[in-house]
Amino acid sequence: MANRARDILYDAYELGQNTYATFRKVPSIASVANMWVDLSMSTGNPRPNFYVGDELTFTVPTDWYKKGIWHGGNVSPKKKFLHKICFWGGGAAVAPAPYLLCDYLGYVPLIDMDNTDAQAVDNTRATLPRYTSGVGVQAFLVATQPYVGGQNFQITYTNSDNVSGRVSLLSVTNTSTYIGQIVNSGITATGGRNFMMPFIQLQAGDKGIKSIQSIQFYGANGGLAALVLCRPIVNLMTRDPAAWVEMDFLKNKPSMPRIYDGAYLNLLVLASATVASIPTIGEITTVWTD
Amino acid sequence: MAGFSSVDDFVSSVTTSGQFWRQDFVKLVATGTVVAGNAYDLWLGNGTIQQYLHGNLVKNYDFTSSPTDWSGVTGAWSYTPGTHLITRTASASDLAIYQTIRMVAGCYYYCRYTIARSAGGVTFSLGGTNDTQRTAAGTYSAIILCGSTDKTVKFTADSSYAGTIDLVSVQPIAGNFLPYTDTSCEGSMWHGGDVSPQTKHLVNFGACVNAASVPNILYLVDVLGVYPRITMTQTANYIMPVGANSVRGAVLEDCQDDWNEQTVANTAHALVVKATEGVTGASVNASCVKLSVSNDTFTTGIIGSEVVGPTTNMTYYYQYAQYVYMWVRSTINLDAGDLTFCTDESANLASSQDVALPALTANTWTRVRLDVSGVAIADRDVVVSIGIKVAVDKNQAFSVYVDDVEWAMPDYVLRNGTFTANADGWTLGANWAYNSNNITRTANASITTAGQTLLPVVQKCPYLVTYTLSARSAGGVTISLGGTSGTQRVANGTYSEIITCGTTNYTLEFTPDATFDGTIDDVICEALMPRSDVGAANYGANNKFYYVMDNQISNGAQTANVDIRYTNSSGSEGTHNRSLGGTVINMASDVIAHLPHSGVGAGKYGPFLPLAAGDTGVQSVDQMAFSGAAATAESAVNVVVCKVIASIPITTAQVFAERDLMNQLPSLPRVRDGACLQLLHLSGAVTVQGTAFVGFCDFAWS
Repeated sequence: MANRARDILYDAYELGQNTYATFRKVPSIASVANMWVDLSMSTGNPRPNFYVGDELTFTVPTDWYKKGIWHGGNVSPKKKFLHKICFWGGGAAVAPAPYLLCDYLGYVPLIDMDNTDAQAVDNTRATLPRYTSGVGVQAFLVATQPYVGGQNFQITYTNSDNVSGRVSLLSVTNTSTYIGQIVNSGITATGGRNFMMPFIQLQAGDKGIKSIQSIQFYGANGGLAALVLCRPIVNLMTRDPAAWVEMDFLKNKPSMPRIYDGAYLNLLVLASATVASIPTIGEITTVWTD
Repeated sequence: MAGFSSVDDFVSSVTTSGQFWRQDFVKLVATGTVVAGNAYDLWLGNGTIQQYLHGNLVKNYDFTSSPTDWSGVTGAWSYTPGTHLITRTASASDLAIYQTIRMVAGCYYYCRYTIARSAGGVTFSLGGTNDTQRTAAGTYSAIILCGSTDKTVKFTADSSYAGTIDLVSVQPIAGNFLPYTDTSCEGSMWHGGDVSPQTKHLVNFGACVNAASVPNILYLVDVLGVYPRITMTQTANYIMPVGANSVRGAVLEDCQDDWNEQTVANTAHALVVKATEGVTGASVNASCVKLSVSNDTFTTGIIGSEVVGPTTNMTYYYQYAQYVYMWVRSTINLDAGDLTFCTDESANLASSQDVALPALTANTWTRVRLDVSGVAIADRDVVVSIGIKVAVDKNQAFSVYVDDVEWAMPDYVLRNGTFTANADGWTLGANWAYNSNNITRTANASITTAGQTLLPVVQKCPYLVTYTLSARSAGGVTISLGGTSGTQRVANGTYSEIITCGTTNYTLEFTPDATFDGTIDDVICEALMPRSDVGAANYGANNKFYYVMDNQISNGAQTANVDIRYTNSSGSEGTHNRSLGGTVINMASDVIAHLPHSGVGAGKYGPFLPLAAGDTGVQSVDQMAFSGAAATAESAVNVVVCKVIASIPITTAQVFAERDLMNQLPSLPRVRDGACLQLLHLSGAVTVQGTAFVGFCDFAWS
């Protein structure tokens, strides 16, 4: 085997530069079909994420990475990669279903979705970690309190080229109402502007978000939400409730996704029915090397 | 060496150097219910990647997120996010909103916009040329000659206008090629940017569809460019012209039959075999037309004419043409203006419009380029007769041979490249001056340029620039495009060279050295197919093309046969006017985003049009004709040229289909710098509007 791959595997498994960890998420709250769910808020291992913090303040919890899917401690100056992931969806709602493993970078909590003013975000207490330019950083709005839905909203942000005042495309909140549901996801019968992807659509030409300036609803939507900035790491797919998904990112879908020190890893899932009481169980292996 | 030398090189590039980009996408089906066996252009649907209207020079044409790219949206004008409209309330101030776009004064554009209003009127203008003031709600369109006042598309309201603006498009007409890159138009999937001298490859590709609309095949394509707004409303044998340059024009008269519309006293006309006549050369045609002045009794006037017409040679778009090309040979030396090329909407050139030919050297075939843009549109929209006149009495018998009369549109890049009557559009530095339908420079130590700025060129794309240098007495001159220089010329001649437009600016200019003293004329800048190895022996290899309905206008009940001619990828020049590899039948009552040539019936091909047997690629699309006219006014198509990067069959709803293009299907398709990535879909099942294709692409480079 050629040197680099050999070096990675040698460092990982001969020198012990690897971490193996399991996860098990079992949502206790329902969801609606064809709308993404933030499994970080679900019960299980790792424990639920409640997006705590001061309202409208960009928040990066201290040592947040310890509360996500465990991938090992800081390894800098070495580099850490996702080597393998194996997981299983324990019901038809999540198998078959697409999942997204994301590095959650920070969030803006306690957004009042009834407030139709432009709600400015306080960015003075934290800055975007790890992907500091914002390239590839996406945003989603997740409900932290029940809501009604059906309202338009937009965010303004600074893009990865450091241009401020960028405006997202119009998003329409879905009518799921459930906590943990990604509010901007879902589709209408005619397509409209709701999308199957969990992320808020950026202004044409933009490649990522560096910071959020404000969020504005154009009608009273009800509920509270958190606006989350994340970097998608890898797409995953369950195919059958009886089938274990195994992915080796050196061999199967070569990409060796980079996991940065401090990354808070968790999952989003596009369920085909309610996820309540349906487990997602799995394990990840990360490796690090020079 | 670019590219991955091994799997380990790939692993190293990704893990050590971070040379990897992952891009998610979601595209919604734009049209009404998708029918099985048909192909659709997903570019026209909502989603991430952005929706884009082919060939539209206006950015943010549907105001999807904000009034970005538009100026003047303040005061009486405001943006309404809930409806993504620009709204105006009546006011004596804040009359206009506008967007600056790069377009060419003196060229025609198809302009379309939608307004709603409760009071007053609003006027659309292009470069300062006004459309009709609109005082009723509706969707309006017009072909407008771009003015020279400015480079804006503008809406000017009267003080009482209260209403909205939406869906604004400005497109070049008649299929002038518009190249695409990842940054030149909205709607391209980001793949990580330019990496040259390294090479980028697609590593993984995955997608699923949300509804039970399976199976489907999703194609990831690099869209190289578009020939926009090719009308479907003309009758049989309508021909679309492309190619302002002399390489490709639309045939007006092939001169393979006698010009026998009339016989004028003391003249003669005949069809002659070149070899027999001793006038071989010019085109590949075996014959040519011979027009003779029989004796010196003849003074001036018509020496030959030929019947042409809308159902045979002429085209709807000749009224917008800029150039006529023809091979001409005279038995005597002729001065400029001795002969004229004539067209007429009456028979027998009874009241013709004439354009002077240049000087001709005796017994020498010369392919002349004539600027016919000075002939009024009203005099050439239904031409029925063409011919040659002697304008200056030569007092002797002589003959003129004519072969392959072609015509071509403007290049849609330069204004007044022939310096006709002035140097309008050009910025002439010190020591440059307008002369006589050309520009000259006198030698001077102070080096200044002659050029045009803010041209509608696409950076990183190749252009064929042509110009004539004459009356040079010293020094040299160099043409540049976008900051990239061509070859310095130090001798008289007509030069053509391929320049990849640089990224410094949008300027074409001539830069002399200090001693240069000479004349420049006949400047053309024509877009070539990007990312296709232009100039190489495999230029255009693996390029494919399709066409799609334009601008959400249907085509009515039209099931015409489609005749498309193209230049293949045979050698660096290709073979022109190749016919498709099968009879292609258009689909009637078509819907937006559908490829009308696709389907399951006879004469249906999809997603790509069939090439002629043995052809493996496309360098350009040359002509297009529908055998019957569309029933819907202003219906048109866009012909799109692309390369297929990868395809993926989606067999089960809600289940990702994934392909590993390194280990599973070893191919690592190349994604070139500037690639404009988009998606096509070949449907295997009924798919409702709004159905979403969700997926991702992984790219890596080394």
